Amino acid sequence: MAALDCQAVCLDYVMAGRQLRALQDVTVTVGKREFVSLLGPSGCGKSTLLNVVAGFLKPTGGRVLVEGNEVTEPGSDRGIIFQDHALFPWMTARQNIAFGLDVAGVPKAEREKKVDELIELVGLHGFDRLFPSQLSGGMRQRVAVSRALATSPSILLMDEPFSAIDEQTRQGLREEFLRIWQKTAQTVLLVTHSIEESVIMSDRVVVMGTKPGRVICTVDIDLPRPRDETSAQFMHLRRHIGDLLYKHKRDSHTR
Amino acid sequence: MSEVGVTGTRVVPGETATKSDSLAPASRLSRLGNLEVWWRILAVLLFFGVWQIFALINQRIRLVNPLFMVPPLELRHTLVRQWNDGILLDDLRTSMTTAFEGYVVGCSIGVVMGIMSGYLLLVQRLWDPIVQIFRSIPPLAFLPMFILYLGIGDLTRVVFIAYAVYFYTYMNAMQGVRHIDPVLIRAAQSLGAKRLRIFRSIILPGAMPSIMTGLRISAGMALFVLVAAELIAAEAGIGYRIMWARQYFEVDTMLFDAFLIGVLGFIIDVVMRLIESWILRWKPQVVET
Repeated sequence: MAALDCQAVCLDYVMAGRQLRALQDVTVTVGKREFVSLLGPSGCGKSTLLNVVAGFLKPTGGRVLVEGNEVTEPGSDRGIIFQDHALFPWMTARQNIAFGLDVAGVPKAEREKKVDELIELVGLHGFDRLFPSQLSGGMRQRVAVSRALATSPSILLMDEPFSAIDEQTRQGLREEFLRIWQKTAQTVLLVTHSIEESVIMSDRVVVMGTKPGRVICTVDIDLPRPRDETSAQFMHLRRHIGDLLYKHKRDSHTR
Repeated sequence: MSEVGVTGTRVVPGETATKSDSLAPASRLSRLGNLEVWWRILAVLLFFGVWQIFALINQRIRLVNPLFMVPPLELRHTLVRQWNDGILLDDLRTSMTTAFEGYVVGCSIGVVMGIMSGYLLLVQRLWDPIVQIFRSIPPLAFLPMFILYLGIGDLTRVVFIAYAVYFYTYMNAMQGVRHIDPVLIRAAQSLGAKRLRIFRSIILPGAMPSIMTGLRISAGMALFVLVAAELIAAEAGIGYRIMWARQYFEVDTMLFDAFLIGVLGFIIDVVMRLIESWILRWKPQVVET
């Protein structure tokens, strides 16, 4: 059974009296332990799809299954890492990480043990008693990763998690996240607009297009890890995906 | 910091010191080193100095009736006299008790209703328009009605202060709830939190900065309307003392009690800001409003 199964998901919304189609028959499957990226220009509905999977938006057609169960509302089986970290500012890093476990009613001793493990895993040691406002952008995103991992979700949903961070920090965080991903064998769905990011990180890239938001094609990234960004295959794949997006854009303009 | 780095870099706890210190809530005391503070002190000294000198000269040349022109240093005798008569503590006790009771009642109702109005659309739709109507009317306009209904007693003043204070706490609590970042609510939902938990762990703490602002403004407002109420309807208290002194041409008493209110207001504001910055210690800096 797939970790995530989006079956012909459609989403319409009404704006200024006009009905618009944000997603059209989007079918995406993510296997267990697989790392899949949703790549596309703004307006292609990649974030919308993520919100549907998260349970924040109800699809107007089709359905979403997580480990075989239909998604009807948000829940802790889908961990989310938001673009701007969305940490609770009044809780310390530690309290943020512990929140999901606390909600689930995990006893204190067990909770603390799990939080300690996560702090160790993402390298937050010594920062866990600080409030988010006292942490750097990279550190905040690490807390956000631990918080999402705490409830051991079936799938981790990431909404452009590295886009609000400066370039140097971003590269380090990507590598760090890949290390965590390999260690935890976590299923991941990553939304990104960066071709490079999708090729560095994922097993498979779902390329999406606009008007209406839909899947253009899927590209398997069959490169050994850790990936060499200067290798010929890497550059070939990057160019290939770039061409796909360019063609789509040109076609939709001429249409 | 560490994330410049390579995968799996361990962070040395010592490194946190500089980062966290620079972002820690600014200490109030550190402001004393600020040049601006000394300018302020100079301005105050200059003002009272000129006043003192003018009042002393006036006693000779009688430009205005010296009865009306009290030198500020004279007020120290007023302090001693009021202290010895026991008036000072009596007035303070009466006024502060009334203000405190009215403040607590008004804030409690205001905060609870503000939160409800921000959280439940039905409450907001039915109650908010009413608040907006009465908010634009100065509370003092209703004081005669309060007196008519409740007589001239403690109850009138307590109710009046509670009424005046209500608007500030209500408005701020409501805005605080309404302006919570929806992403935080989504984050909590995705971590399994349901309605009640979200209310307790996200809505309430998220609205807290705004609620605290309302409580602080209300504290000043309580004092403000207290004096107004006491000027009109009281048998004791600081405002009453000022009215009483007018009948006996005791300008020094009137001035002294006016400044007494000023000092009280200042102390209350400082205390409220301390409480606020402690409750909101997770914020990088308490926002001045």
